[in-house]
Amino acid sequence: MEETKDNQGNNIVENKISHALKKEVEELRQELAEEKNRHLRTRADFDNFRKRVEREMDAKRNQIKKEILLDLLMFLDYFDQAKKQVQDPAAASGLEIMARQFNELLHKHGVRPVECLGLPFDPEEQEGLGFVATEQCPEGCVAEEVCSGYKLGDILLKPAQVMVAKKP
Amino acid sequence: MGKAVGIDLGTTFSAVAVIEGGKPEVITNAEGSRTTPSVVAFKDSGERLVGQVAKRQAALNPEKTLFSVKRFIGRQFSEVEAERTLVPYNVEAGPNNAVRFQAGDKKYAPEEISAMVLKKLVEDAGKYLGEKVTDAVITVPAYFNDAQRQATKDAGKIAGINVLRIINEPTAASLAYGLDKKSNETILVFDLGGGTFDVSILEVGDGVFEVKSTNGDTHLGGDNFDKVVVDWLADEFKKDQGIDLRQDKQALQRLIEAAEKAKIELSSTTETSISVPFITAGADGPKHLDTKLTRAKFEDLTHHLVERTRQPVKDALADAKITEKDIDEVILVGGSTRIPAVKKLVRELIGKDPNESVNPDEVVALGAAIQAGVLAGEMEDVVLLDVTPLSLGVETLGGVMTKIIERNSTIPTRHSEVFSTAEDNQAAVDIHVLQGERELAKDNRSLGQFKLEGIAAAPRGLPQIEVSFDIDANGILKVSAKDKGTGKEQEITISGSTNLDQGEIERMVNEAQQHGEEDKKRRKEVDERNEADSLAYQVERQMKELGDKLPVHEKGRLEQTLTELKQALKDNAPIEKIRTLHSDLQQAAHSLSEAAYQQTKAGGTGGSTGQAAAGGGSGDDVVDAEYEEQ
Repeated sequence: MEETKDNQGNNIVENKISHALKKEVEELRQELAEEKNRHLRTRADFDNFRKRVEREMDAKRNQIKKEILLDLLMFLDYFDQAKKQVQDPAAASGLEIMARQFNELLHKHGVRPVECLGLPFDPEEQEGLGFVATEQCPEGCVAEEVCSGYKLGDILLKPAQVMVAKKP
Repeated sequence: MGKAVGIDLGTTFSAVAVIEGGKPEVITNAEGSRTTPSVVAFKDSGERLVGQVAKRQAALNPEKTLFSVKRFIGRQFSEVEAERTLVPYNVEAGPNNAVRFQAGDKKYAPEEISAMVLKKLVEDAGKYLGEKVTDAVITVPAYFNDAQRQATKDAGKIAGINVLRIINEPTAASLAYGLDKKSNETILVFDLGGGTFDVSILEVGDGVFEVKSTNGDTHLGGDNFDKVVVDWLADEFKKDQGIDLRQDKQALQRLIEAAEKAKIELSSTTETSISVPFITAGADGPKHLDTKLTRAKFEDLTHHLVERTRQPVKDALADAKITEKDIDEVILVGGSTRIPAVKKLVRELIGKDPNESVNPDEVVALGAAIQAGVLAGEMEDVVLLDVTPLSLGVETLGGVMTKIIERNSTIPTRHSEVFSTAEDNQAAVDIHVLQGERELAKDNRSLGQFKLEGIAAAPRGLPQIEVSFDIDANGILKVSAKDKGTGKEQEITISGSTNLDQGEIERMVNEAQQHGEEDKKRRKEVDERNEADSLAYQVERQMKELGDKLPVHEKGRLEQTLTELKQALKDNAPIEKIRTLHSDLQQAAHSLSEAAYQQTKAGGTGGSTGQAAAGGGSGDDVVDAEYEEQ
């Protein structure tokens, strides 16, 4: 069979094959690069996911704690109200003891009241219900705590509901 | 490019979601909440507050706390006369009849305020995701006109977001339910939010949604329901006690909280008690609020509110020139659609059970995230990963199945566990590969079996045989067993472990559920027998070593109990008998432990059997499920 040669005497068939192979190598390289990239992305995604799952577990634990504590905080509020209203000294001191014990229990679990009386109003921890005219307290500061607020570490469980001082 | 998110920019609340691993997830904000109030406030100092913080100071700063801004966005000043009178802040006419809010000495366009909300949402989302959020799909009500859509898009731009697309809220909700895959269906979306009610009728075909009609009530929502309950409680209290709780700010706060709680509870129970002890003090001492609210009474009180949704639905159907029979799917959106009476009305009007499996507070944001994922090309990248439809495992001592790979594990995956021998000097183990959910090997599907031979002679429990299950992406399962002592290895390849037809998978899973209780009981029996057997073996070994150290009568008792237990196991005696003998032997073996202890203390020899009489468990990471030589 007669061989087909070009001007330089190279074998055209060979050239064609080599060209096709080069092309295939190029394609495979590209495909490999894409796959490598995808693999790395998946790895990174997974790594980020894992980290977030850890964070979310923490958040979830806090969330559950928060929900339970929030339900319990209601009773602290009842005690506060009761102490203000109960006249009978024996009953009042009984209430006082219960309230104190309950407070200690929550304290043990990291619950702290939001300090607000006399401090400048801060919506990060307080919910403003309205103004009261008073000279007792500088304007813009909390003059009255309607409902106590509580924190668990840095987490706000319940904002303090407050009345803010205004010049009469 | 950073992450693309979906944003539900609501009238009262907003939410953000993102696609992760092909699924939309709602993102919590910096305060840990899944929704953020659409509220922006300006302090005297000029400082800007956004979200919950802004909401908390609203009562103190009504003129500079901007909420419900969505009611104004993209509208002409002359169009918002009614809305203007309902908000405490100043709404003014700007250039070209545009709406402007006057807050302090500054004027803001509605787009700017919405931009501040959007900015907080994407910044919080960025923190959560650990990467910057650059692109977003934002939703708007279906009835929004071009100007309102453009203004919403501009708000995104002002916030520095590349708005991929503005889509309709009902469309987003439909996407969250995957309804884009349906062809030629008619969908009714019933959206009862915090302060607005929207009903939309859509038609879907070839993944394209077309809005056929919209209707609604711009001032109806969950807040109305709360107020009705507060008023009822206050009225009842006044009737009984002669005190109006609404006049006492402290009592009112407690009342509002109790009312909202009661409303939420009545969505899942038919009666709830509303108790606020010491709510106020009268001339004759403390007063308590302690009453019950039944769902029937609640429905009676809020009947007029629920009824207000009826006509808009009818009008929407009429405008779309269809009847309720033409509706294929109903979707519920907004927290207030959890109210049973609302659901009931929807069912009555359309005659269909609504789709409600996706959280109605989040469904719009989730759908927007799906759209964002598609537009950002994130959905294409998702390789559809297969799962193993049934659990895979091996048969272990007593004919039970020990699972190595749990059902619904994503493949490719690999798991291994270390097993041991069940007899002294056992030279081979049989690996019987099983598939299924039942506890006993014989109830499951057998995939194959092979033998690992040439295990070096050793007491039972000592050799470590690692069994590995490896399923590749094509569902081909390779099971190998390797004796860690000799390095000898055997394996089997099983194809088609994942291509069961759906019916068969369901049958096997259902069977496992049906037989769950008895299977568990039988499994427990096998486990108990294995434990008894293991104890007998250990006691026997210790007897050989330490038997002479025991007082004669104790040795006799021990030997007798041991023989009885071994016989009982051999005879496959009732489990009660095995249990009794097991505990008898445990009792008797205490003297052995003592003897071993004495010996260790005395000479330090024989320490190797120190833990042997502890019964059952082997304590280290060798799983106590052993092969029986066949």
